[in-house]
Amino acid sequence: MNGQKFPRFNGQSGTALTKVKAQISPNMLSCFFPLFQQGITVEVETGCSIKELLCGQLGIDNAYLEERITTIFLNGKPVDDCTTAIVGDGAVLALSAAMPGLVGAMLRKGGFYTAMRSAITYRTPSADSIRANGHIRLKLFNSIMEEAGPLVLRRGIIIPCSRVMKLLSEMSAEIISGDLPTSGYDSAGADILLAVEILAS
Amino acid sequence: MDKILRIDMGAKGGPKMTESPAGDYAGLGGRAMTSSIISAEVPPLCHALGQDNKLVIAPGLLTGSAAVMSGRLSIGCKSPLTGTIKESNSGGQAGIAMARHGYAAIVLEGKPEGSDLYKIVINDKGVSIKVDNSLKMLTNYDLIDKMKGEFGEKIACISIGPAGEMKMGAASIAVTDMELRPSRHAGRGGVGAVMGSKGVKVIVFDTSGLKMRQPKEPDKFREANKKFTEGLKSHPVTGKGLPAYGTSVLTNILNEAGGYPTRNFKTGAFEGASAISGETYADLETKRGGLATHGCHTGCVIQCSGTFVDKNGKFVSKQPEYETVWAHGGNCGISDPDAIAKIDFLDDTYGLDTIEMGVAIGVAMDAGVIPFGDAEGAIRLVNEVGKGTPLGRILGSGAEVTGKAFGVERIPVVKHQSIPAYDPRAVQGMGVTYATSTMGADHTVGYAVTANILKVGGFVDPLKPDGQVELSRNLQIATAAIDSTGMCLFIAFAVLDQPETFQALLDLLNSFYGLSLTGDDVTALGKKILTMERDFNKRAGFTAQHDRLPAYFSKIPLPPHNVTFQVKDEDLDKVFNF
Ligand code: SF4
Repeated sequence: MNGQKFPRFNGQSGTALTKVKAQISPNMLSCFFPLFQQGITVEVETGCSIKELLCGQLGIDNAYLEERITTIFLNGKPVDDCTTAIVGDGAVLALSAAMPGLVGAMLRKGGFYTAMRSAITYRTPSADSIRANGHIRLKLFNSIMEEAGPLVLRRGIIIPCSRVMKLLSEMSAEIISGDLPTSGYDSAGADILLAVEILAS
Repeated sequence: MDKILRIDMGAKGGPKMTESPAGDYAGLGGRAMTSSIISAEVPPLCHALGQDNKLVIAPGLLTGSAAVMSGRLSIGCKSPLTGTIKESNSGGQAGIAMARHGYAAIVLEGKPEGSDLYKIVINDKGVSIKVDNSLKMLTNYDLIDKMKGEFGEKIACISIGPAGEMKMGAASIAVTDMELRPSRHAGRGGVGAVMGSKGVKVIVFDTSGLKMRQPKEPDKFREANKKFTEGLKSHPVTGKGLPAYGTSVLTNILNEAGGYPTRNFKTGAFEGASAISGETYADLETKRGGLATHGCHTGCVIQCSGTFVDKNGKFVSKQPEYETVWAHGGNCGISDPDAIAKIDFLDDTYGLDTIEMGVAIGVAMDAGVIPFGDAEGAIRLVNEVGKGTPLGRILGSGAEVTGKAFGVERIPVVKHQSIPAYDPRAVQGMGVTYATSTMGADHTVGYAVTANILKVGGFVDPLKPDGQVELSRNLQIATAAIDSTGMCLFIAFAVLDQPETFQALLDLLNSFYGLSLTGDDVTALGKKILTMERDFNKRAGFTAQHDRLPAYFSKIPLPPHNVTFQVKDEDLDKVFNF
């Protein structure tokens, strides 16, 4: 058991997460697509803007955020300005590329048709801008899964142990550091910090 | 494309054909053609299934040319579902064949006595119309197999399934695709029932030796086509999102926005959305050996469609579209992509509008006919519709009839037509369009997001509270115009973002016809079409009171955002102030 220890997901002191690092081939990335769509838990510094979180912490390129991630939801509300929307602990942040149709145009950040969905638009920050360690649920949709997914995986995602085991065996992943617990774990409830490197094709 | 074929199906001694120059209708295409003929020639108070109604089939202005994306076909009539004027359009190959045979429109008129079923065949020798009662109650897929056996593979067909023959309110008209499958449909408004009332089962176009329609100014046309194609391919939606994932790419997004109507519009989020998203369908198609990127007609460079196969690689249906996946999926609490694809096939082969059917089944589920989430039960219900059992007849008559039959209060319809896949409480601008559209609730009528380029109705401040009313007006104008060109509406996004792509579209029209249209002319065309349609509806008895959503949308909040529809009636009444 040489896995690094991280603070546990629920933030309680005294418990820590087991870190497992694995490598997969690029064609296995799609095994994560269901997870990306449902949302993955990542540990971040919360209380900052979406832009700071995505670019400053997750390492997403500024230009990529501007040009490709054109549809963003914070707690289910379409966001128009990534620099003012504050991500709090426990937030759900969903990222998508430009979407088709009128509804796609309406939901796009800062688009011409935002009035048509004004009832659900993200307006005032719903979270404090006090910086603290926390966790968010990050959802990646459509081409963002392929393009930004590897970056997020490399940094590490927190998922239940039972799911990691299934996933890694599905992908024939090679574990390069850390061990998956074999016993003494409540596999249904325990979480693992899983970092995944995508091998060059 | 300068002649109109009229077939009087009720003529004494059998159907009588006349072919004439387009005359007063010259220079019109698609929706402009269908709505012009219907509004001028059909008595608005007639019974939609009676002898006075007409079924008008018209390719778009550029259909049959080399212009990319231009293969759409419009079908118009007085709708038996809504009682309003109707234009429903479809992809597939028949529009191209019809335009290349030189027809600007085919008009089916009158009503035959008796119960004979007719087959119309159009080839280089002319038009023949024959009784063929062996086609009775054939499903669309079986019918097309029979047509292939009779005429070979070089054909394109327009047909109805059993639903059209039974004159159901949800009956569609099928158009064959590039693989000669009847997978593309003019779905909305019961147009298939009108074709059924005319006694016409199928129109077969011989496609062998057909020549492309030639532009007046070939060099300019070629250049415009190149620019238009480049614009579509370079845009992230038309060049990447739609080809990769199809229209169902909207599933996750609408769900995340809390605007994905779930279990008969009870909530705006569905826990099973990711299992039936465009991303999941594309992944399944790729892994199983289907196709995740495919066009519905030649010349489509976006290719939002695909081929869905089962675990053994066997064809199930074309890749179901977003509205279909929603109607039979989240709206019915079903998250099984295989079951939804199977229902899509059943809808196509029986000849049913997937939206109307999914919403009708959702209403039936709400009434307790079968439980939400019962995929097998839903398949059984669609089969009942195809067979025409008493329950099937109720469901096939649409959501409103189903709701009335089972005493359901929440029936999501406007002007008797089902509301599609965007809850108007979350996406209120869409609600404005649903309420005021000339066609009943329809997501495509205010779809063309070119409005801000066209600046129809002057500059709109989108941040004004009533911006959505003005935007809806402008979108409806722009869409009416695009529906006349034969262009697939999915061009809209690239045209919105890239003024040069919009200019390329204008250049395509101008160089093809030797015209000098401007954005203003396009706007004027859109307004003219809407004015004609509104006038028809007025004469058919529709008033401002019909331009409303069902009351419950203003009263019952939609979780998770807990919003109600807030646009005021007096604002809805301003939509057509132009
Ligand atoms: S983009 Fe889709 S709907 Fe439009 S023509 Fe192509 S395949 Fe058909």
